[in-house]
Amino acid sequence: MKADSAEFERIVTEYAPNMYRAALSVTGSEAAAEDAVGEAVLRAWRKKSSLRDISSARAWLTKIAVNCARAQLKRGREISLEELSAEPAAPEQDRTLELRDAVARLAPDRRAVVTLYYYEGFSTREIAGMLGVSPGTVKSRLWRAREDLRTLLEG
Amino acid sequence: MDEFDKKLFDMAKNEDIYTPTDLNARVREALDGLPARGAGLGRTARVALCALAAATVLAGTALAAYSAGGFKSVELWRGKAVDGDTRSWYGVKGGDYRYIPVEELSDAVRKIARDNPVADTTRDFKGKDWSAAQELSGVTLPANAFLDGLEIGASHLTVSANKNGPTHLRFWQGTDGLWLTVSADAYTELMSGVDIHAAYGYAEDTELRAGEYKTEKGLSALTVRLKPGEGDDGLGERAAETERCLAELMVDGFKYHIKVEVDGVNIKTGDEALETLHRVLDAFE
Repeated sequence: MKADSAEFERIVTEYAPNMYRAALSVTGSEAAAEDAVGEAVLRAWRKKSSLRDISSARAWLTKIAVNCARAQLKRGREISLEELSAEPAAPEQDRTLELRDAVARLAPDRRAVVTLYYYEGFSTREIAGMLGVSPGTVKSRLWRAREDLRTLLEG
Repeated sequence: MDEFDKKLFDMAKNEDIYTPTDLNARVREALDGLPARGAGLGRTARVALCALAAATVLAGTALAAYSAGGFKSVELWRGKAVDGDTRSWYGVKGGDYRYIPVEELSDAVRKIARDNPVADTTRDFKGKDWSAAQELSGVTLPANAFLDGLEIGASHLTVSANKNGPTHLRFWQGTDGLWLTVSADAYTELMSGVDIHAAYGYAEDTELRAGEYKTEKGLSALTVRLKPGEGDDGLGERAAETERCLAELMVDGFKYHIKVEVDGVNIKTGDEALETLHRVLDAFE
């Protein structure tokens, strides 16, 4: 991509929330997701020539954010005391559980596929490419995640 | 798509994208710090980048001359040009070389290995064998080019290959700078999972030295010597980058170890080494 600085800035600013949500789905930690987004911006800049088609910028940036988030997990980010002591909030009796609350309770691998599939609208094949697993694995994680969500949302 | 599936899509669609309030500031900060915008590079680095541009030309000449003598391994050079653009060029037996984008590096190596089946040129270099490594690489640069150019963002990468493809990749920087050997098994993952350019970033005008290595099963070992340079401001930032890059190299499947030597004292490998490395980096902050 022959994107100049302004074009790069535009797509990064536009898709930062998507990058963040994808990163959060992988890390499960807001602080780590923020770190991942920051790192992803830098990495995207370095590799911007690999973006051939501007229309695929969202998928490209999301994939980089996912990779950075996974790297965050692998390097074993230090967790603050606050995060360590924070327990997932119990569902309130008189409140309908929102999807994002339910998704937050899923296992990390299922959380990622659900976020990329339902929120970001990527195909199972695209998700497979992002996560480095086979499309079959994505489908199987989706299926299991759906069952988990059904239990969480519908009891 | 069943009813529940539709419900999930609807819920997702109607939910606001939750983002932390300071995400934009974080993105702004990252954008402002992009290398090509001049941030993060001190005067020394900029001068060195200029020197590197010249060094690349010199290196190309040297390689072409040497390869006429029957050079058998594939070489790849990476350089960071003054404008921040990163290019690589490779040379093979016969002196052919050309620039390739970094993104095409991986494919280029495979193609070279396929088109130029050669004897296994894998060879280990240890300690004082540096001159032998240079000889095999076929690249000799003037001392000042090394000092000014290769000490910073540029790196030298030699690929040993046989008829089955690359067997080892060897990276180095400066005459006694970082060198790291990675087996071909780890090659693909390294190329896809690690930003090598970033991995080299940590040597940017810090006094980061690496010496010995020994090849482990499928992996590399790395000895890192950390020493702050004189009058080096911003070392903490680059030290943090060092930590980041080293950590980034520790991906699944890379059972390599880092051996840290501080002030001449060897630290054990493994967790203790990392712990020490972190402590040293903290001290730089």
